Amino acid sequence: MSGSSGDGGIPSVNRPNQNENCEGLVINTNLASPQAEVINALNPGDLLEITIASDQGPIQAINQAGILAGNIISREQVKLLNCIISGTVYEAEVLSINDGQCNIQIRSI
Amino acid sequence: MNYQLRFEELDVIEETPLLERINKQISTIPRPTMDFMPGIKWGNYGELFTPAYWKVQYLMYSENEKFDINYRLGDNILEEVVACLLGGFGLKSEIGLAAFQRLKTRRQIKEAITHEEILTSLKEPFVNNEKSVHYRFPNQKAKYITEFLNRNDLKLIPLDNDIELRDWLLSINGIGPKTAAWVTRNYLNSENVAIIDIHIYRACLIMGLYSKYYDIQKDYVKLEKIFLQFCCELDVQPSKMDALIWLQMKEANRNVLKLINDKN
Repeated sequence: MSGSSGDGGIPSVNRPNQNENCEGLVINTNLASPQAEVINALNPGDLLEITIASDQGPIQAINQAGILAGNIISREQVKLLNCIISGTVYEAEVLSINDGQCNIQIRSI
Repeated sequence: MNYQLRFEELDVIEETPLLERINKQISTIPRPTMDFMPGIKWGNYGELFTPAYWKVQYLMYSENEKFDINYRLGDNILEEVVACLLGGFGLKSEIGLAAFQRLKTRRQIKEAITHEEILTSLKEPFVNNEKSVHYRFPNQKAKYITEFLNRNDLKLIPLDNDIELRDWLLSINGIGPKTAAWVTRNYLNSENVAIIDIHIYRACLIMGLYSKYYDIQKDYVKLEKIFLQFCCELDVQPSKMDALIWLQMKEANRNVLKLINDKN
């Protein structure tokens, strides 16, 4: 059933990734709630630090000066949070900036 | 290890096009401090398990790929009910499914089957992971199945109405409200019932939709109604939302327990 293994069936929701390895988690995405004044000063190749506001999130990307550039939302949010809490360190490389959207790649260091 | 070499070996999860497609919908989600339902705020969609979080997750999953939620096990309602009766608390799903397949293959899921036939089939050992295992409750389950398959109203099962079907299923010994909802959902693709298991219960508890004093068994109808209302407010399909919640809550066990402790 919707979960309970004892009921006989196990639901499957298509997952983007079945890799359980935190170091193997690589996500290309756009920053959510991008902060225009920070984004405008970024260039492709710049690195952002990935951090968390609390154990439940949000997951944040901050620039070298420690200022919030935007948040991360992902279908792998639970996993990413758990990996960060467990000690894996991630960074985000700016891939492009277009129309106020900041495209990044998140990966472990 | 060289970054370039390393990333050539990794699968990149590409979510950029997905986020571009749902960007407008995300922008319409109310601010975190806005009321979602009486006494409950939308919360931040970047924080786990807020109403806004579930809305965004739903948008991401449903936009990019099809939800695969076909749990149906039987070819007809009798088989579906027997499959459910063979599962349940304390039973490994693999063994329940193996038992179901055995009864099905032997054509024993039919009206007027005898208790002895079912019991004999359930008592024979099953092979799981190359080990011989026994079905744990053969006597009790054989009794439920035989009672069910010997009812004189099996031709009258209301298969045209989901709520009537659910209520009818509740008259079967061995089937509780959650399993009745599950069969109804699977058999009629119903969105008018909800399968409230421990993961859905916890998710709703964290959001403040449920009180910790609610009991899944005793208060099932009330909990189901609240969950369906939650889905209605979010404008999402209950069947997809409960599959998504189940998956994420299961994965986030540590975060879940902390949130529940914080709540209390």
